[in-house]
Amino acid sequence: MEQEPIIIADKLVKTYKSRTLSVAALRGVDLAVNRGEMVAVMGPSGSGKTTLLNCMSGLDIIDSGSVTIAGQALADLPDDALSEYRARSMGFIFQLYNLLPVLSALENVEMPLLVSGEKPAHARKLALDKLAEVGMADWADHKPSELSGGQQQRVTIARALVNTPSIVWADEPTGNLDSENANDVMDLLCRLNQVNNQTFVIVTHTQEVGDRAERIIHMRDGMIENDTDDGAG
Amino acid sequence: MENLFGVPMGGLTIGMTVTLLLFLAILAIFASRNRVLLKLGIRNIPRRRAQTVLIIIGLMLSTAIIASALALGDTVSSSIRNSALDSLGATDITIEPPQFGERVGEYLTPEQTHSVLDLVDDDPRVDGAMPQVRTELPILNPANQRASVGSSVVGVDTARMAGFDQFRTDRGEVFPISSLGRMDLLLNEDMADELKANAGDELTVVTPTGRQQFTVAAVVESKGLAGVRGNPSSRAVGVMHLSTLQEALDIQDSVNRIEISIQGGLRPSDDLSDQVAGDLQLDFINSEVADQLFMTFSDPEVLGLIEDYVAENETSLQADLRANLQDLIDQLKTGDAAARDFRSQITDSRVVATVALVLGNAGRSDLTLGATLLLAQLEVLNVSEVKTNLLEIANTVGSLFTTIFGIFGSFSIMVGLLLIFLVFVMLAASRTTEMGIARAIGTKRRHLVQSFVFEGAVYAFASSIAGVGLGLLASLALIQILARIVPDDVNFSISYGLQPRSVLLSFAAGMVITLITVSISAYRVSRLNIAVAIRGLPEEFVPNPTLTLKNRLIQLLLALIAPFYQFYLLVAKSNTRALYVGLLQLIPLVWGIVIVIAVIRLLSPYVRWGWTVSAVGVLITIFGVNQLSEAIFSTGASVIVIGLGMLISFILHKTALRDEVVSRISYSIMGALLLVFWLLPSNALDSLTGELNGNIEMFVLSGVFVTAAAVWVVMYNSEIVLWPINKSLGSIGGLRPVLKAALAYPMESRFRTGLTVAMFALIVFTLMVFAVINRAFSNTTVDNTDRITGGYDIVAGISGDLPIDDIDEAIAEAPNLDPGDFLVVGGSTGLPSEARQLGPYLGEEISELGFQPVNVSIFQVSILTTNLWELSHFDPEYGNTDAEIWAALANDPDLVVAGAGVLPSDDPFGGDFGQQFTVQGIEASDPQSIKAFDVELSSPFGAQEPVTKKVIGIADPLRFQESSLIGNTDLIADLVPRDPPLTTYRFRLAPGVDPDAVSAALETAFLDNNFDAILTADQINDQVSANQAFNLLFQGYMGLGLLVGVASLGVVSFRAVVERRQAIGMLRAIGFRASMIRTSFLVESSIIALIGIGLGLALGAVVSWNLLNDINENFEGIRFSVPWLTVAIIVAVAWIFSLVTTYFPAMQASRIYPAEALRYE
Repeated sequence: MEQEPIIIADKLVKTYKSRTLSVAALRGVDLAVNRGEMVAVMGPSGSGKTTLLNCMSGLDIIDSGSVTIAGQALADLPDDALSEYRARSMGFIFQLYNLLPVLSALENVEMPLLVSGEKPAHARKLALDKLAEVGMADWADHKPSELSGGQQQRVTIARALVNTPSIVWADEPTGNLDSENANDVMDLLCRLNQVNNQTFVIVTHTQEVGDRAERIIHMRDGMIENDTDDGAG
Repeated sequence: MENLFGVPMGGLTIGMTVTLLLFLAILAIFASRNRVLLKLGIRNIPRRRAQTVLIIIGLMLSTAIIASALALGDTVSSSIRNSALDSLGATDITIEPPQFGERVGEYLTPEQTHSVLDLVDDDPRVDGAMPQVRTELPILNPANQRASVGSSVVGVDTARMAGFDQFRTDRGEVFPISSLGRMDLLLNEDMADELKANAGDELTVVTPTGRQQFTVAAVVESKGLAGVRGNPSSRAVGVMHLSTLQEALDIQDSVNRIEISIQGGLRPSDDLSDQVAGDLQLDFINSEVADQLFMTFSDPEVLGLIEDYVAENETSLQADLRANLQDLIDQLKTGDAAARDFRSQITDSRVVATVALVLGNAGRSDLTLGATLLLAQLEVLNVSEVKTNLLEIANTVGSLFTTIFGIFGSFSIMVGLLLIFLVFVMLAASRTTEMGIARAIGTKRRHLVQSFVFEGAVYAFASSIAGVGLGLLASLALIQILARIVPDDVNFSISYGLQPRSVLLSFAAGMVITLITVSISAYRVSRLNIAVAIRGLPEEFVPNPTLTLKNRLIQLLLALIAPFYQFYLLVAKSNTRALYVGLLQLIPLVWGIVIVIAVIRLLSPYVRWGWTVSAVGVLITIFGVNQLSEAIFSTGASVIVIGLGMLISFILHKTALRDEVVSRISYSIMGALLLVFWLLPSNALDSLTGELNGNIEMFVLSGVFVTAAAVWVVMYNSEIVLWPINKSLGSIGGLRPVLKAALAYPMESRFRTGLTVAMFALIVFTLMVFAVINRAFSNTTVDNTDRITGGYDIVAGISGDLPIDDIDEAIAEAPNLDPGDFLVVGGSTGLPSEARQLGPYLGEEISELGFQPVNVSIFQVSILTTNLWELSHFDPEYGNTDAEIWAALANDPDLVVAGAGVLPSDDPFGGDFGQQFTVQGIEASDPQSIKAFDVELSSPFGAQEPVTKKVIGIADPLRFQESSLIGNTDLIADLVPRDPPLTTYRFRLAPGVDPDAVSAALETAFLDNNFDAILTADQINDQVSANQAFNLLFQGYMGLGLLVGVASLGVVSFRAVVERRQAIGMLRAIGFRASMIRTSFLVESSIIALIGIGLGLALGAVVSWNLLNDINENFEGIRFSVPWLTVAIIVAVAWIFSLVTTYFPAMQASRIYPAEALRYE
């Protein structure tokens, strides 16, 4: 069966400019990611991995080129529609977890549901289920500062997946974790990918993480150097 | 303005400036010793310019509030002062016959006038003397039918202008006085304006000898001899030849005053004025009376009593009074009655009062009475330092104003200090990582403190300058409002005045309080946990290590000898730093602080337990009860409660409860108990403590305590407070996530949010209390018009020189008046006199034996039997209702009702305008039924014995605020040579009669009597308008405080945007729209502002309700009502401004692109 691309990036160009410096982060990147695929984007520091993720997910603007997700060109969406799209169809996992420190684990997880307009009671139930799924049900009422790094990342994963997004973007999801916790998190991500058939785009510089993906894209100097499917898949 | 809170301004300014210089010197020493820290501190300033500007704005507001309060005081002071100097011109001293009633019309005899002039003409200290007649006569302008009533006419001796300012025309040219014709009249600008008259116009002056035609020679400035004296109803003055006026009044060569100008220009020295007036007074005392006084006082028994008194009270007597008494004793032993020293002492009121006290204490009230009678006859002519006295009043009123604004402003200043603290907390928060790293690489805590204080000092300097500027600008606006409050008929107008001293004081005070706050917050910052700070986690402080008891005792011992220990270190260990520290510690204040810190450290391990704090509270409470001080008692009780809260916290910490729960329980209990205590009615604990004396400081204290307590309770129970908001707004789908984020942040940063809530609450609290009380007084005026007006529709004043013989007859004869229009017509007049209470009253002896000034008001029977004025107290033996008591006065000239001013007052805002007659044994809060008591009313002429009158009631303070005695027209028949003319008339009109028309008709009919009528309804309206204008002025002033609260929200919001950048990025990533981020920030600040506003309104309402209940005890009829419109305005203004301030940071936050926000660290 021919794979259907859910994410299509076409000639993406992104340059960061400051008063004295201009850095080309992406220099005409073409990429297509299929639905249900788990893709790892790897490369040395400054190669443009995170920028590629930000631009493809609509978190950042591009100088030229286009990003199409599930047939919808992101450039055509105004900011509010794009936000709504992220709320309903995307999930994000960050290296620094980026949980709201003032909310409990449960409240953090239910936030995307509330943004999508879910009823509070239903949102709470779904969030609790998702926390249970990542093994954090017992920590639901704890604030992020009361959790370890691995626990925080599990809550982040729960938050990213709670609204069953079609795409999950993960930027160095294990970057702040020790190897044991990193393995646990990757096991979890792989399991969820297989169970839910969700598309995962994972930025990482760790080979062990890359090896768990179906496909590895190597970047260097803002361009794709190598695109292989020699990962786990 | 010379005093602030009773402290001389000069001393205060010097003290504050010296403190500032000391502070700066200490900083300079530290800076010179460690320049790196100075550089580290200061380099932060230009790095973030926007932040620097924001900090300076936040810091400058306290200084602005101080500066504006001082500028207001200065302006009021200088306005009165300038008006006094303007209208008096060169006149410094006046000589008049002793007055018993301004309308009695006493004159100096030609002989007296000559002897005065002979004396002063030879005195080199005197520039000139002007004998004159000053009276009130109506003047008409036949050309346009305008009349000037209540205006002054002055007859001047044109040959004696030397030493006095020449008359200047309104174009500034000198009017040659020699050209003033016999029937010429100079009009001052006010009169020319009133009559719309110009030079050359013919005017008619109504005199007792008939109407006379005068020609206006010129219109001159309303200054000097053409200025008003005292506080007449009109500022209009006409000037003519002395002889012309004497002829018109039929008084031959008599004058009623001589004005004297002494050397030194417009503002001669007080000493010279004292000397000249003192010398002149000695020349005009009755020698026979002086002889008799000498005989009375030199009696060995009396002399012995005075000597004993001086010896026994050597330490407690003021030095100058002791010296004067000693001089009197010496004179009585060796001098004679003619000696000037003796005469000088017996004309000194304090010496005389002390002698009377001595005689009274010795049980020789017979001698006291004799001496009092003699003293009343001592002065043949009354010499008054009119300019010095007026300038003193100017200073008193100015100081009073600053005190009022200072007290209410203290809330804003406190809020300003909280803002400074908050700004530095934020500043520290933004640098925690940087500071943590600095600490990690070996920077000591004191280095951090120093570097922070250096930076803060620069901000403090810049903000104090900016604050003074803003404060002066604000005061300019406030003075515009103030100018509207000053009634038109008051003898001064508001003009901006500011003393350089006030500018210096506000700058120094602003900078000192900023530096102190900066130092405290720097110390707090230095205690941050290093590891936590580096990771940028929420603040966590390192507790001070607890030393052993032995070490703490050694530390205290070293603190007691602190500077000497440092010198020991210098000598024994060659520690050069010890030299600086030792020198610094030689300053008593610094040494004291070192000792206090050592004592706190000694006790600190026990302080945590709480019971020690409560024990200290108990001691303070007992001390407060002993001192009868409500403020000390209440503070002590609050300390007990705080200790109790700490004890609960200490105990709960031993349990398994989480820290958060422990804090919540203990702070909630502490806050709730404090709230209950401070919101109790002020007399609720009287049965336990007895009656304590509370003053205005109680208002400030209660404001601070109830706000702090309420904020504690709210912040630790925020979810309960926010539950309704969550429940209502949270049900709106789109708002749900916004609300979640908006509520979570402020409730997480309790300290920050609590500070901001407290700022809003304090300011709104003050505004609310003031608005409720102001409204209550306005309502009382409007609701009780009959209590104020007596039920009369028109009240009119006439000239004492142009009396109406029989008003009823005159009305009947007047062609334009219909007697049927009038239900009641009655006259009255007021006369200054002196009185004393005769004791004992209800078994208590009366301690005040001397006579004190009192105003005597006599009313015709028609007024006494028809008025609707009320009484606060009366003796039921003389009647069962207010009306029956008033009617009792009509039938018996020996009965009087006293004005409410005779009751002792603890009015904190009452200026010291001299001692008035007060009674003992009755207080305003006593029940209505009292026992009648006797007073003795004296005649200053001394020709008659004092007469005894019985006080059977105390009049309503709403109408009769002054110290007065009210009776029928025969009340003083035995004291005055002839019946005083009635100068005020009241009219009650028949139903349906138009008061405006009748008022105009009365003025026309009685024009020749200088009849000046006003509708009582207009008086009420004027009073209400003045109340409203004062409220507006106050709200404007407190608006500065509100600005502080709003600024704090701005600071918090700007900081929040920076702190939450990553969170904003994450929220955007999970689908928050830009508008949701914006709304979240606006909801957050709205909640903080509205909680603060709500607390302020609620607490203000309860406290003002208590206050009004207290006032109602003395002042029946005051009722509580919420000024809804004002409340709505306060809420709207405070909320809108907080939204405006937060809008910009909110916009900034919503514009951040998610990826950019996520990148930020």
